[in-house]
Amino acid sequence: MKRRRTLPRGGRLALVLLLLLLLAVLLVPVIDGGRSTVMDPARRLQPPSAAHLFGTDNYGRDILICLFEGGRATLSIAAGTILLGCLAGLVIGALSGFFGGRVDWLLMRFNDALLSFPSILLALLFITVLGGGRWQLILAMGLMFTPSFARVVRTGFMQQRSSPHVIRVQVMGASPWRVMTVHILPLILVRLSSAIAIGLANAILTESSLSFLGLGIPPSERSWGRMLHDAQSFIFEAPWFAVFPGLIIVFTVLLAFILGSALTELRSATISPGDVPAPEVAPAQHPVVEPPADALLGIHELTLAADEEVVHGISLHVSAGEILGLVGESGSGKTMTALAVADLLPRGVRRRGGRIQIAGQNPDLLSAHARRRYLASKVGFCYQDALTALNPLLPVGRQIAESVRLTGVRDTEAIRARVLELLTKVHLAEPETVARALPHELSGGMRQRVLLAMALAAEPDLILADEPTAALDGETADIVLEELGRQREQGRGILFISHDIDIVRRLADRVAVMRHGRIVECGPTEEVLTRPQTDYTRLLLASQPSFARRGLLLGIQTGGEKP
Amino acid sequence: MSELLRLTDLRLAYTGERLVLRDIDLVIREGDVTGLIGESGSGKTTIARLLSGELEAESGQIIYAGTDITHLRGAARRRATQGMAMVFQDPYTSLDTWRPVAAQVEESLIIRGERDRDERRRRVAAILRAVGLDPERYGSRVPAELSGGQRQRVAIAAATVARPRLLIADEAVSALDIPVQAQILNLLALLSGSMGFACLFISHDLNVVSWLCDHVAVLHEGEIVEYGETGRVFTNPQHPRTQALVRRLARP
Repeated sequence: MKRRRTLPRGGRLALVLLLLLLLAVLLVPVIDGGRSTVMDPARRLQPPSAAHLFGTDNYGRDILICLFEGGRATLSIAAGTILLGCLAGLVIGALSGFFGGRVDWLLMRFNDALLSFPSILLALLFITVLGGGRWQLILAMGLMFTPSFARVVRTGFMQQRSSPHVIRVQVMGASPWRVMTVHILPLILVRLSSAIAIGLANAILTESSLSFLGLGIPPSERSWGRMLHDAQSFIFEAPWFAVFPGLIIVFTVLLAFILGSALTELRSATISPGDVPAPEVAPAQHPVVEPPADALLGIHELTLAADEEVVHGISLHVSAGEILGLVGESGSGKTMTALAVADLLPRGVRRRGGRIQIAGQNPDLLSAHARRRYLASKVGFCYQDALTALNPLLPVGRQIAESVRLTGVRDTEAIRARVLELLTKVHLAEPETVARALPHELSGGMRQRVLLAMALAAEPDLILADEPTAALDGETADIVLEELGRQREQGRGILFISHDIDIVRRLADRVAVMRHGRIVECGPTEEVLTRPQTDYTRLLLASQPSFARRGLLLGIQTGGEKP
Repeated sequence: MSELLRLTDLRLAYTGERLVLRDIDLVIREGDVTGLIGESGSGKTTIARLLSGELEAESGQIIYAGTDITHLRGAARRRATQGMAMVFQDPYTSLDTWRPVAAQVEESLIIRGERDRDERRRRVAAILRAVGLDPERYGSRVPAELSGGQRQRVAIAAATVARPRLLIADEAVSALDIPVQAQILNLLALLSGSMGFACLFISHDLNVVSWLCDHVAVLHEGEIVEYGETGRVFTNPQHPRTQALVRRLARP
């Protein structure tokens, strides 16, 4: 299996180049032994040549060797700055994040004060008071970098402190010290690693700017910024003198930034949901049944693909006045199928084949505009997650009104009346109050009914209901299910997606079982759920826990082949 | 069997307004699997958080293995609650993203003071095998390299490797697909049987509770409205709330 903890390629390259640069900075001046950095007026300001690849400076010193030597000051100051800033930030952030409360308030106000003061001014102030020099620079810049590190550490601690992982080990009896050092700190260091790389880049830039202004490294020493400072007077006479120090600063800073963003990616890659193991054997597809000519929704050999195929040529149909239950595990392709019908496939998922017929029309044959109108009038979509499917900033009445307006109603009063009618229809008491409420002011069950009201706004022939009750409690779920039942009585067709076989058993006329992007079994609900024809359906049924099955292991089939 | 956990008149209100829990009384005996069932917002998870020490009750008592832990904090609480372990709904956030799973299971033994490294390794391998994960093949993986069901197996291994007396499972199977849920439920039933730990199994799913638990407590708006042996509660529910729940289950 693929390891997810390796650095992206760009980041690895940047790391290798940075290490090579560090090695050169450490070794080259030693190998050279000071020969090339001796003042020699005879070699003054020579352009790049074979003897002096980057040319010479105003004292006749080899610029390439000087760069490696100057790198020692620049890089050690940057490293010292980050080390100091990071340690101070760790202490402040950890105290703040771990204890919270008053300690946190005090430390964070101190942090804010530091952050709100222009950092370069702060550094200048320090240097003016302490004088220039390596240690003074590290101290001044370290202070300047502390708040940003403290913030990263504090946020990490705050998040980790209340995470299930930390609570779990606390309940096991881990001491606060162990929780902090073993369970929180390593995760914080991962977060810090990218902040460190990016801080390094910033520290190199700051040191260079200060030294260039003549405020950093004293003239007796050499750093990249100092070399730029010295080169100013010769910019027309000997441009190479300024160009090469400038280039190496840009080059190093760029590499550090690349490394930093690669480390950020590394961090986010680890919080992606886990991989679903690939199917051992592709399940057999249920044979294609020609849909009845008058089917409301006909799906014929639909194939969907993202990076790889996710739905493999499935065929389904829903008739008017019928509920088709589509059951299967997460990742089996149920939702993708519904999204394909509504022409709402997410970016990156394409239809690779197959035909979709809705109320006698193939929407693919319509222009984009006409298709949108057609689908809006024929298909209502009821999503699973009511909180994210609604706009959090608009009263729900306004959002339903939007759906009503799409059906062509223009009159404000008529729209209002229709909104209240829809809300009443889904059994929301006090529809006027509900219409004025923002989504977060409603309970989960109320929000789900608002979504259903929106799906019904256009009086669609076909309703696509994607796990509409998964997040609901028993009673509220019943209200939504009963409303779907009523819609069926009125002749609408419903594609009802669910992982809950009990609900499908109660509601659906026919059921289709989906697995790994294929329909493995399809037929009348009663038949499929009492006399399943495939191992997978049998497994699903045998896996259902119930009072009747107490004392028996789940998932073990009685009178069937092994799963 | 002797009493392991006793909650008496437990009461908690958020910000002084609504009572989240009122007069909770519950007893769990050694080895008993008790289901705590209720709708979202009924206070199930709040009870778990009182037990884990994240929240502190306003009045009432939590007695665990003979010690009143209601207001115990710090080292004294850690000593008194030896033998408690938790499993959460989302195994991903309840595991360390960066450490190999074997090390995370071993951590439980380190916390419990098992000094012998070889003994730890042996027990980690044994429990990983018991939850159905080959230690050779899976031990060195990080959670991102496992499926959801495998992660929950790791979480259960980490919770049970040190032989708990009380396992608190908060919606531990709710996020799993049915076939995977079935495997995890089988595992919990087998482990609680063979290790003999008691379990507070918190769930909103009556089917699951009715299959797994010896006793059921029904929580409604912060109150336990019914408690009894699973068989009795399901065949002869007393409270209207429970009757409604059971009726919904029994519907064809």
